[in-house]
Parts: sequence; structure tokens; C-alpha cells
Amino acid sequence: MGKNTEKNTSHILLNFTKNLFTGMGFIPLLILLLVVITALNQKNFATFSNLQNISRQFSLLALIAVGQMFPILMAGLDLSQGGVMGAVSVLSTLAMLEYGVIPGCILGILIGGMFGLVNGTLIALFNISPFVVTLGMMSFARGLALMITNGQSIYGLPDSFSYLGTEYIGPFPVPFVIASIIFFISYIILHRTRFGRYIYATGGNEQAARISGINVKLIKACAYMYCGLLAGLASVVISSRVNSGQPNLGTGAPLESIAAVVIGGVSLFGGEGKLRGVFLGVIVLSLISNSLNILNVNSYLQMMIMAMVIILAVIVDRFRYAKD
Amino acid sequence: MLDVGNKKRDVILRMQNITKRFPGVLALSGVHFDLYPGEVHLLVGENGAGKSTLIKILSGVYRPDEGDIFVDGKRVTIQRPHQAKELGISTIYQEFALIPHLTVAENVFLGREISANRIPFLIDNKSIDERCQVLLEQLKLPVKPKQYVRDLNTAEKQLVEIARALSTKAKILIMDEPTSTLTSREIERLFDMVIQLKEQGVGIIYISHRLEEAKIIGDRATVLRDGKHIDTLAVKKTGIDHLISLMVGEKISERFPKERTAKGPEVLKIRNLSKPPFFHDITFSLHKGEIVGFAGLLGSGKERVIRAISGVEGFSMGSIKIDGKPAKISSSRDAITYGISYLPSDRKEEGAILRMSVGQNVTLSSLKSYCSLGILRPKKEIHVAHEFAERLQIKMPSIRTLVEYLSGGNQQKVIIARSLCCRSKIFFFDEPTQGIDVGAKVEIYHLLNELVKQGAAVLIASSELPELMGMCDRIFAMYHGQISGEFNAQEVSQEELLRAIFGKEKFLEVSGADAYSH
Repeated sequence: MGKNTEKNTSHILLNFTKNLFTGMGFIPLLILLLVVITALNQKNFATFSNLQNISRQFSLLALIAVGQMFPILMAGLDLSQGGVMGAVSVLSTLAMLEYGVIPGCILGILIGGMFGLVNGTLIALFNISPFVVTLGMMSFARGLALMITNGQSIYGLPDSFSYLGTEYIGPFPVPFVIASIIFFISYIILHRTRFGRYIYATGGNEQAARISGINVKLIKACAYMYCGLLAGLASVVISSRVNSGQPNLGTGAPLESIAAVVIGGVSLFGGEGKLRGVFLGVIVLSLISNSLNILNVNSYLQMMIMAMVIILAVIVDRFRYAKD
Repeated sequence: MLDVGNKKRDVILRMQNITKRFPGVLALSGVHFDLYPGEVHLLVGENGAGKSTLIKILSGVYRPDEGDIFVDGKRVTIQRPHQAKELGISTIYQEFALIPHLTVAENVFLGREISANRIPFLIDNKSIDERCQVLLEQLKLPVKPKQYVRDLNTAEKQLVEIARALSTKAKILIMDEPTSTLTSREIERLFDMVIQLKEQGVGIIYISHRLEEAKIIGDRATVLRDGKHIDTLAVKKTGIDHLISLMVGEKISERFPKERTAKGPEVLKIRNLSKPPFFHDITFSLHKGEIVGFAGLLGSGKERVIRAISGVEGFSMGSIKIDGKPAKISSSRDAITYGISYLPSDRKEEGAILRMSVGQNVTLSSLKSYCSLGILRPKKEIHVAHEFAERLQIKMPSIRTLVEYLSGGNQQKVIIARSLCCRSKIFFFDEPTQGIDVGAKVEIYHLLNELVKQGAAVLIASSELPELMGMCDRIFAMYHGQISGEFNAQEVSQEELLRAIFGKEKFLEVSGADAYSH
């Protein structure tokens, strides 16, 4: 009898931990913990200017994480984000010097979309692994950026360009407003359009989606294109913030965006995950990074901590979607 | 034939009063089961009747809440799978547990490798191959120890699984749906092997949905229903209908509730459709209000034909006419716009999006109709999904329930609803009732009747001849990629059909024949 009760308690405990980690409950908990620890230790955490700082960090990560969510929902991923951001930064600022700020920005976003479209088309048409295609694209785009600039940064941009990265609309930094708009648009796409439904269907079961009459190849190409567009947008915003074209922009982008998406509960196996989750995932990551900064943690150690968080997130993902 | 009184034939396994509770469910309540050496004991029941739970208890996956297990008269407790193996209990599951990139011998001795000259880390491949060869010869298995498992066909893999089970000196062998992926000829080989095993005194627990086949090989049958032991009876003296009624609980008036519908105009005309090497020169037509069957063995090309017409796989030559007009179909999308729906045999792999809700699955092919200005109208969508779910009587807690949690029969209904929802007029079913409970099968048959009554045309590819003969108006037999006969389903005998699907040459000579013509 005693043995039985013991078994039951351990069973309940196991279930509880499992629910804690697999349900959405664990993310808000993590956020709360971070905020409390940092605020207790450092006075400049809970200040208005730091809040704006966090929101700026949040916005940039949000753009690439929302983009990354689309390929991941289709059981793929986009490793080329960083390289594409480098190429976009260089090409858009060069265009800006020739044709002006607005055409330069628009061109930058479109170039990002083009890279994404090429990724998606290769993956869909030849049915090759997204890992290989986007890994190749990462190197290609980075190489292109470095070749054009010979490894140098591009300076001398119009002052008006810095508006995107540094100004405010009311109390909100411009990037935060942009990220909010992107969240809204992406929500509509995912939950209120056929494209969004088809992404979930294709990610959930590609063959069944095809048999249901969905043009799976087109959906794939479009998903990667959307990811590329957002990488382009992110690159333009960051370039504006540093007011220069940087061929080495966004080196850590894919790792961080994948981390935010996975922490947000989007399954790496495809077909499952909510934008709400990605939102929380982005908050968690930007809070962690901000806290580590404020706590003056060595930046190399920061890299190691982030890496561990990311791997932990993937382990949790395993738990969550493990078939029992 | 099974002499229970004979003292040499003592029970090798007795399970007494087995009870197993899961949260909220009484999976087994006081179930008895026993097994004699050299006996094939069928375990039958609908999905959820408790068959798998009983098997899992025996193989150490679950532990019973109450009850005793005796092996060779001794009371045993089986806590872990390896304890079951030590007791000589071996299970062959539906999904093959073989590793494709290893050889047959390596697979057979996986986890029990023989070491060379007592050096514990080196494997003696030579003696593994030799021991495997001996085993394969005993079983008259036509494969070599050094062959890679990935190069074997389904039947051979199944037989290698059995070889592996036997190499552990199993006294009790559990076979879970062993024939579900085999062709008739391969089933014969399997049955030959089962008979050999019986002669060696192995006791076999045999689980199958295919009662016709199980009846050929079984000695006794135990029927479970809702976790209870209903009856144990001698198979030879029991009719299939009786077995089914025990399984289902209430008497089903008919297994095949065919209703005749007036034949309408021709809706589909297929001419000289070819896709070498899979099928050649397929010509037939399909009329409104009729159900046409395609019979054939695995590899006859029957399912390839319907997959080609419905755009799932392409074809190289031939023409398709729909309502008298030429149609160009190169994808499922094309097919759906012409009003053709393909309903796959493997609903989990190809049919439903398991992690999406019932509602979203039902509307998946017709989403355009619930959009205005490119934006979905969820209310309208849910309303339509509800309507179809009700019409087809899909049993579900809510329209938002994930399809994953529905039974096989209800999953099939979800897919039928999806096809209805996008206004299909021609329905191609690949094995419409594969893996579906006896009771739910009848519901699917009623739905087929309903479809043709409302003016649809239905084409079924099935490997269950009774189903085709019971539900179709006309049946085409396929052999080696060609149509080898057309029959009126009401007049044809099972024997004639079998001749046609076996290409008129070799007809089942072995034990199978009498059972097929019951």
C-alpha cells in the first residue's frame, strides 16, 4: 500500500514538472524571476531609459523571430538570416547614397525578400533540406556583402536615415512601433488568411496538405520569402541605428531567433505554435540579455549562457511534443 | 484437434483475473486467458476492447493492478520487458523494430551479439552469420544473413522479425496484426511458418482485425469487449458473424448494408491510362450513382491507378474525361477543381492533419469559400464545419478537438466531410475501412450509400474482397498493372474474382482456399 502511494506522489510530481515546462506557464514565471532578481540587484534596471532600451532590443529580435517562425512552422528553419542582414545592410545603404533614403530602405527590404524567395524556391522545387540551403545562403550572402565592401563599413549616409533606429513616436522607440505592426500583420496572416492556415497544414502533414489540394511548394516559397522580408526590415532598422552599412551585421541572428521561437513553444517538428508564444519568447530572451548586461556579466560568458538557454529550450521542446 | 485433456499439453500460460485501470478508464476487468503449447489462440475485439492492454501486460510494458500470471504453472511477476523475454515471451509488433541499415544477422542478434574469443568488445560476425543461417534454414526463409534489411520486402521483414523472436527461444509468441501489410501470397508463407512453429510446440497469441484470415490459422478465439472477457470458443465451430456479434455486442443486421441506386450518366471516362511499370492501358468508366471496386493484390497497381487519376501521382499516357469533357489533372489541386477527391488508406500519414482541429480539417480544401477580401471569416467556417460534422455524425467532444484524438472511423469521416465540403462529385477511396472497427465499418458503408444516393460516383480500391462484393455494383480485377476482368458484383463468386486477381494462373492451393470460399 505504502509503495503505491509513493508511486502516486512521484507520478503527480512528474506530471507537475512536465506541465510546468510544457504548458505556457513556465515562460511568465521565468520572466518574473528575471525581473525580480535584476531589479533587486541593480537600481538602473527599473528605469525609464532602460525600459526603452529593452524595448529596442525586443523589437529587433522580434522582427527576425517572427520571420523565423514561418519556416519553423513548416518544419524548416532559416539559417541565412544573419548573412542576408549583412548583404541587405550593405546594398541598401549603397542604394541610399545613390537614390535617397526611402528607396534605399524599400530596396533593402525587397532584397531580403528575394534572398528568402530563392531559399524557399530551392527548398520547395528540389525538395532539399532547409538546413543545407539556408546554410549555403548564409555564406553566400555574407560573402557578397564582404566582397562588395571589401570588408569595410559604409558611412556618410543622410542624417534622416537615423530616424528609424533612434527616434521615438510618443514614448515608444520607432523600432518598437515597427515590431508591433509586424506582430499585428503576422497575426492576421497566420490566423485569418488561407496562407496562414496552409502553413500550419503543410507543417503538420505535408502529404495530407497536398492531397487536400494545397499548393505546398508555393506555400513553402512564400513562407521563406516572408522570413527574408523581415530579415531585410530588421537589417534596415539596425543599419539606421548605427547609421552605416555593416557587412558583418547580424552574425548571431539565426541562433537568437530560433531560440526565441522555440522558447515560445513553436515545435521544431512543424505545424504547431502560436505567435503569442513567440512574443513571450522574444521578451524572455531580450530580458535575459539586458539583465546580463546590467549585471555586468562578461560578454563571452553571456554567449555561453545564451547558448545554454537555447539548448534548454530545445530539450523542453522534445518533452512537449514527445509522443507518449 | 486440441486435446486439452492430454497431460503432455499442460497450459504454458495462464492469466487470471487481470484488471488494469487507467485514469478514468477500466481498461481490463477480471480477464482470463490461457494458452497451450502448439496452439494459435486468437485475441479479438474492437479497438479499445483491451487487447493491446492485455498484451502489454504480458510483455512487461504495463503492470496489472490485480490478477496473476502463471508461466509453466509457476506464478510470475513481469515488471519489465526484459523479464518477459527471459520467460520466453516474445512480441512481434505491427511496426517493425528492425534497423534498415544493418544486415539480417545483425538485426536478429541485436543486443545479444556474440563476442569473439571472449574479448568482450569485439563482435564475432562470423559466428553470428552462421547461427543466423541455421535459424533461417530452419524457418525455410529465403533470405541471406548478410542481406541488408532495407533491401527486403515487407513480408520478408515480418518473417525476419519472427526469426528474431524465435532466436530468443520464445515459447510464447505474440503476433499483433501480422498480416496487415502482406499480400495474400505472403500471408500464405507466414501461415506456413506459423504451422511450423506450432509443430515445435510454440504457443501463439494472434491478434487480427481480419477475421477471415485469422480463422484459417486459429485454434481457439478469446473475445474481449469493453475490457471484459466475453467468451473463449473453438474457432472451427464458430461462424465469423457470430464472432463479430460477440465483439460488437449487439447483432449487426448486415455487414454490408448495400442499397441499390439508379445508375446515372457517365461522369468519368478513363482511356488507355498508363504509367510503366506500374500500370498499362487502363480503360473504364464510372457513372453517377454507382460504386465501382478495384480488386487486386498489393503491387497489382490498383491503388496507383486511383492515385494517378486523382493527381496524387502522375501518369505518362492516356486521357481522362469528366462529364464528357477532357480533363487535365496533374495535381490534387487540379483533381479537386474537377470535383474528384482522393481519400487515402493511411489516414494518419496522408489524410488528416492530426494536430489540427476537426473543424479546420473539414474546411481545409474549401477555405476560399469562407474568405472575404482574403480574410477568413471564422464564424462562417465553424458553422459549415459543424453542419458537416453533424451530417456525418462525427463523434467528437467539440469541433475544436484535434483529429489526433478521434478513432480511425471518425478520422475517415472527417476526411469524407472535407471532400463533401469542397463539393466533390467523384470519390476515390483507397482501402476505405483499413484499420477501422467492425462497428464503425458499417457506418462508413452507410456513408458510401448516402454518397451515391446524392448523385456522387464512388470508386473503391480494396484488398478485402468481401467488402468489394458486398458494397460495389461493378468490380474490376487488376493483375500486374492491367485490368484482368470486369464483374457484376452481385453475380460474381469469390473464386472467380480470386482467379482474376491472381492472373488466372496460380490460385490459392493451400489452406487459404477453403476459408476464402466460405
